[in-house]
Amino acid sequence: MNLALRIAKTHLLAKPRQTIVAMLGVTFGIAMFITMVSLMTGLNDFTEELTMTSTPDIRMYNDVTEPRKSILEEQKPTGLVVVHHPKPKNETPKIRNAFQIAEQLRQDPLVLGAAPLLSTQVFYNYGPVQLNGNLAGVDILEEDKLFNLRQKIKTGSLEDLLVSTDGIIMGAGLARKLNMINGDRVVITTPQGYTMTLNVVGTFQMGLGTIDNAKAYANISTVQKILQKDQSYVTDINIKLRDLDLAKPKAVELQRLYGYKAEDWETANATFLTGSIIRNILTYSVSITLLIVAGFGIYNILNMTIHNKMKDIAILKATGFAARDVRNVFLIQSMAIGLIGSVLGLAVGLGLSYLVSLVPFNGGDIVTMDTLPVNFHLKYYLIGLVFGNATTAFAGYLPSRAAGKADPIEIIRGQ
Amino acid sequence: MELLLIARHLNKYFYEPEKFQVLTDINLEVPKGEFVSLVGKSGCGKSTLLYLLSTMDTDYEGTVELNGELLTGKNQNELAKFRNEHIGFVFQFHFLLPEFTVLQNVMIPALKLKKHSEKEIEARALEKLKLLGVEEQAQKPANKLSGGQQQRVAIARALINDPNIIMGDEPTGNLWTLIIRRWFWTSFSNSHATWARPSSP
Repeated sequence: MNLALRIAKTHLLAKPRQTIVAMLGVTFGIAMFITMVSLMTGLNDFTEELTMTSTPDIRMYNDVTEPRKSILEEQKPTGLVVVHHPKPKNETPKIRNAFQIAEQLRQDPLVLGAAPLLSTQVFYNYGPVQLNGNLAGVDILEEDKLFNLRQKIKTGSLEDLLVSTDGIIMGAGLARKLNMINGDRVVITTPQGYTMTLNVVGTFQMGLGTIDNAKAYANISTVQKILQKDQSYVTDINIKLRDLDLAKPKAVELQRLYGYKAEDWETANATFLTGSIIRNILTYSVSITLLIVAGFGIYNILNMTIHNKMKDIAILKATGFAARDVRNVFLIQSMAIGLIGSVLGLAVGLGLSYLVSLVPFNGGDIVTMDTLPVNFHLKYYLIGLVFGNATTAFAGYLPSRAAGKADPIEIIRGQ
Repeated sequence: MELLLIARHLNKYFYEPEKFQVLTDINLEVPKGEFVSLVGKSGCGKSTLLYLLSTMDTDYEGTVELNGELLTGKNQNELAKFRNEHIGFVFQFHFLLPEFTVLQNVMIPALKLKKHSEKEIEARALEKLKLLGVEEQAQKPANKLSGGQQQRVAIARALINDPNIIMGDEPTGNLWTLIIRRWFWTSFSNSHATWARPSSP
């Protein structure tokens, strides 16, 4: 065994209490880091998954509220023109040739699926009460490819919708509000005033209150019939990509290509993403603070140890230890404290985050969850290990180097 | 006679609290096998000279040559290696490493030198302890020994690497007379060793 290592080990074992206190500082820091990071990234993943189940990677639609050039501006492009408060033109939000566009998109190697749909606001009539919501006319099998609907179905099945001409699959929250079960009939009214009676064939639960309490699926032809539109009337195309991260550039490309507004999921869920970023900032700043505090603890303890060991340092140097050897003796001590402390911290952190994952948590109407979501990803344990060791190595390096540079003559004279 | 230690024109200054010349043009030659004592009143620079000759203090003018090797101008790492191999030290206060056993204390300089296997080093360390009459204490922690015993262990440690020269800074400050005699005798029986021992009159 290396001599510096052996001396370091003897020093550590000679003062077990001091060693353990120093280790606990690191252990506590790393354990808190692991627990916080597990919970925060668990929450982030949970919300991300929720948003991904409710928003497509790219949604293409005809944005009739988009500001447009007035005729005056088109006629006199060079002059100073002021048009006060222009309003949108009365045009239908229809996407022309939607089915052909969808077919074309499916040929794209980057695209996993493209589903045309027809979305409209409706009122659900429940006796005298009218509930606001929206109804999506979809090809339910295409929609399943995009959002994995089959797993979200609580009662009934996708096929029941396919075979019925007036079927509807409702969000579980909406069905509860309307007091509906499968087989019941619901009367809906469109903003244009058309009324129709539909047959409830199933319910689904996405886990997100805003969707489960308001949304329902029907066949695309059913919705076209309710709105009294023709067979080609489609308002949106939902697109799923093979690589999520390509959504932003791809959306820009599609918007330029087809002339319709294409919105990527990041833009659509900006609030969720801001939440994730803030949680990440919080996690890392608190963890780094904890580790810095632990680092100062190690710095102090090592400084004290070295101060008490001045005589030993003089002896080691007089009998032929170079500055580097003496430095290593103390550096090894802090590294050992760091390594054992962080490994213990990882274990404690794993235990704590497991306990957190058992805590019951009622998401209420907003999200469906029973316990707090916790992430047990190996990556964060590796980060914790590296963090813990880097802090202690750094905190230990400065006093160790000072010990290596100590002048034996001064120490001996001081006796 | 072959010269072991040669010092030429040594000048040494202290700068704190004010500049003061403590050693002025010291010239010294010590032949191999010689026993040398430095005697002088307190504060005349005996210890200071010893620190220069022992290579621990490098801030001086002049040259120091030991065992045919010029030591002036070498860097700290080279000097540490040289001390390890060629110089044995005994200090006025016993200066053992308190967490280690007596045997480990004696072995550490040899483990640093790595000239022999650990088994051999252990046998040699026990032999040196026996020479100084403290072999029964070998497995005790160093801080459990009496002052005199500790000093004998320190001497055993100085001998472990068979140095060319052993330097002592008032090493018998707290030793029993019989032991001193016995110890002098053993050191002289080691024909290679030379003693430089400053002591106050």
